[in-house]
Amino acid sequence: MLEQIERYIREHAGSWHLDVSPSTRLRGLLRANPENDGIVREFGAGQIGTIVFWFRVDDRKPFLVSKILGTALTESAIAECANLQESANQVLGYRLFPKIHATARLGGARVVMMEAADGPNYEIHLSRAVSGPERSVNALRRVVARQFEELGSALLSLQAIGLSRTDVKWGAMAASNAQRFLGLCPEAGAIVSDASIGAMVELIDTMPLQTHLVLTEDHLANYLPGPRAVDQLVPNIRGLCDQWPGPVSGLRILLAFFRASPIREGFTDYAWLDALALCITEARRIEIVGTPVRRFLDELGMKSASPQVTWAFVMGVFFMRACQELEFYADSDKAALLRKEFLELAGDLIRIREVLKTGAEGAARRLTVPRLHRRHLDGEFQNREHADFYSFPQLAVPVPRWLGAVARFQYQVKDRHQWLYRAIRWVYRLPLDLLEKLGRASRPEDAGRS
Amino acid sequence: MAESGAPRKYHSLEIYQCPGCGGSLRKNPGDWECAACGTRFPIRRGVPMLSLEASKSPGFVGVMKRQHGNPDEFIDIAERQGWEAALRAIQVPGEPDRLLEAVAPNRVSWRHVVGLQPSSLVIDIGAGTGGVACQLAADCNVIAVDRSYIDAAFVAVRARQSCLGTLESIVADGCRLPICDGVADVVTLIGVLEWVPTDFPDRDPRLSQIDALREVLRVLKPDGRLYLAIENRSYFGYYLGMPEPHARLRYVSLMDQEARDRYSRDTREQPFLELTHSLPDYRQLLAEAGYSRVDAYWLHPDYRMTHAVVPVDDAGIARWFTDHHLDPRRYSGPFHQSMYSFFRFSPPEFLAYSVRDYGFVAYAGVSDHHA
Repeated sequence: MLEQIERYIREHAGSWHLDVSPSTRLRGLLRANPENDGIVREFGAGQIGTIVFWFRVDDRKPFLVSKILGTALTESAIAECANLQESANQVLGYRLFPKIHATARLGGARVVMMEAADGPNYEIHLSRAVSGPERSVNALRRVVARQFEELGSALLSLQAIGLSRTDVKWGAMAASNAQRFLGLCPEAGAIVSDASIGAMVELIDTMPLQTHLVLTEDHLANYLPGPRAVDQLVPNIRGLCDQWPGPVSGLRILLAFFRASPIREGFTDYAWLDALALCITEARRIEIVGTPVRRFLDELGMKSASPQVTWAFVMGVFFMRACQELEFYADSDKAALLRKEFLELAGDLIRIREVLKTGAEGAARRLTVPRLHRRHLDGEFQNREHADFYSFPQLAVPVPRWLGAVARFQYQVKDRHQWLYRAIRWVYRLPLDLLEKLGRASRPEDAGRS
Repeated sequence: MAESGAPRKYHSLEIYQCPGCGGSLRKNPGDWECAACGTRFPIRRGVPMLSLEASKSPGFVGVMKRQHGNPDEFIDIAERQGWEAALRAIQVPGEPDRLLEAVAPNRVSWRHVVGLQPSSLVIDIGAGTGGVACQLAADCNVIAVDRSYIDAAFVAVRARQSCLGTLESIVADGCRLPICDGVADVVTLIGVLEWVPTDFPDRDPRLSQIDALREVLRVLKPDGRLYLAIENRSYFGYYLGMPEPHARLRYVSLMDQEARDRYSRDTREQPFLELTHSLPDYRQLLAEAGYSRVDAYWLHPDYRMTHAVVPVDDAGIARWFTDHHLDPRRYSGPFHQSMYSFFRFSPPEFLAYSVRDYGFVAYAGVSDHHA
């Protein structure tokens, strides 16, 4: 397959204005989805998507990405997504979405050739700031602020791109998601009553919102810089854009952000929903995430909404996401863990909604005030029982920070003093280069190549 | 195998040969017979037993099944209740989920690098429960080879129940393949080569491995490819004290042959035969076996469930991968954090030599693509 893709790239790279001459050697780095580890059994090999990052030899970053898809997406759907993304990029004046160069049918699979984006994705940045050797509270503060700023400005820009630009009352859709959730997780019936769904719908419908181009994926890992494994390629993007009011896609990302393990497990007692509620009410200052989240909500157009209305939207988005995940993992062992998690979260959502009725002061008094504590940032993730979408089970072993001291030093030097880093690299690479040259000369199969 | 009733493209006897003398085989009721030397190869439960010696290997399933009595009972369960139920029945609590391992698509996430076509014939040596063979059979023709009768019979049942008419399961020895010269497009050796010397305890283990690779080369077409997945002898974790996964001894893979043999005899009363090598040594080994060209890949996190296939020939690509994809949450505890730091911040030249598992695509001849 790689050879077929490579041949295709060679034939067409010129028309995509990419510098690939016949003599250029290309190398493919293949990235498969961890969900393919048998977690989701009903998906056939390759259906979830395999990504190939293409490098020209001696290049330090990929120049092209090929996404090998199953048959779920039709050619016309991909073309529609590509057109929409391209017109969005043109309106915005910068490249928010990767440019899709072409779609080809190679070796029985559909392959999408798209522009490569450089830099780690949001989740990798976050987890490094929380649990990498370079971790620190300040690093996390910087990362969170930057990510929300980028997301906020991107979503703000998207509001300018109207598709139908109609006012939508999202209550009915939120209610149908809630009913679907109760069908998938019947135990939640004791917590989420018809009355509470009705109240949610009523609050949501008080605030009609305009539709515009939405970000359809809510896996934090895929926003926005970095090697994008998942993108806006969805079967019915126009339909989604017509159904979702703009802020819904922003709230989906917000929920994904707090639920992603670097953040969720950094809060004491995993009380991230309380933290989110306090960010919304501005009743208490939540360190690190408070200000960026509030600014982000303002940019979403929720500035004028009362905390109760915003919370009703959060509930609607939660039901939507819970349904998607429960259906996706229906046949896997994860489904039971997920139901348990969603049950707890549904209870918290209802509890917090009741608290919000008492106003900001009441909320500040009655909500848990979780802290992103230095101890948590220094340690490892503790709760192995917790359903975890974005990471793997972790050992509960606290790691002394000094273990990462050398790495941290290197990181900081690399980050701040590039010239020093290059000088150190040059010095220690000198003997290695010599050794490599000697080794190559002594290997007959490589001697000719060098 | 015709008795199974499923249509099979590669069921023809033309591609098989006698593992002893290389003579052609003919079909009798209940067995296959060598036309040259007259050796008879029985068929049990539809699986041709094309091995000269009765296999002593309990096989992957057999190891799990050993404590549960008659192995044939396991195949009975698979036939009566389905292969998935049989795997569930032998699942040991606390062990990795065998069923998920048998169906996980990431078992074959490397398949894009070997260039499979719908008409390709793949020989999967050491098929185990068919996690690789059955998934590849959805795309091309596969012969699943295993020394263990139970494993081979299980794969045959699984293929039949999954309606995989393109998969053939046989019992055979990987060092004496009962397959004619130059018929295979791809041969896979996944976690197998290191075990080859254990069948020949009195021989130099390296020579046993070279012979096995030559045997694979014999059955490959001139433009065929070998996919070899195996551990790295100089994995960084071994320097930190991680036990060698085959012998389960610390630091053993870092010693020279004589020292590790003595150490192994002292501690587990058997010689150290599960030989693994470093990157240059694998290249050398494959070159000595007669392969014309070798592409090396880092299989991250391991060769069983591979999430990334990273070329290691260009150190810059491996560095880009560690810079952009490596997630510290996968490396918890002081030991793994040190590994993470090493991967992130070591020179890329070291990185390529110190990863855990390699995948090699070795070309039998110079392919058009690389000519």
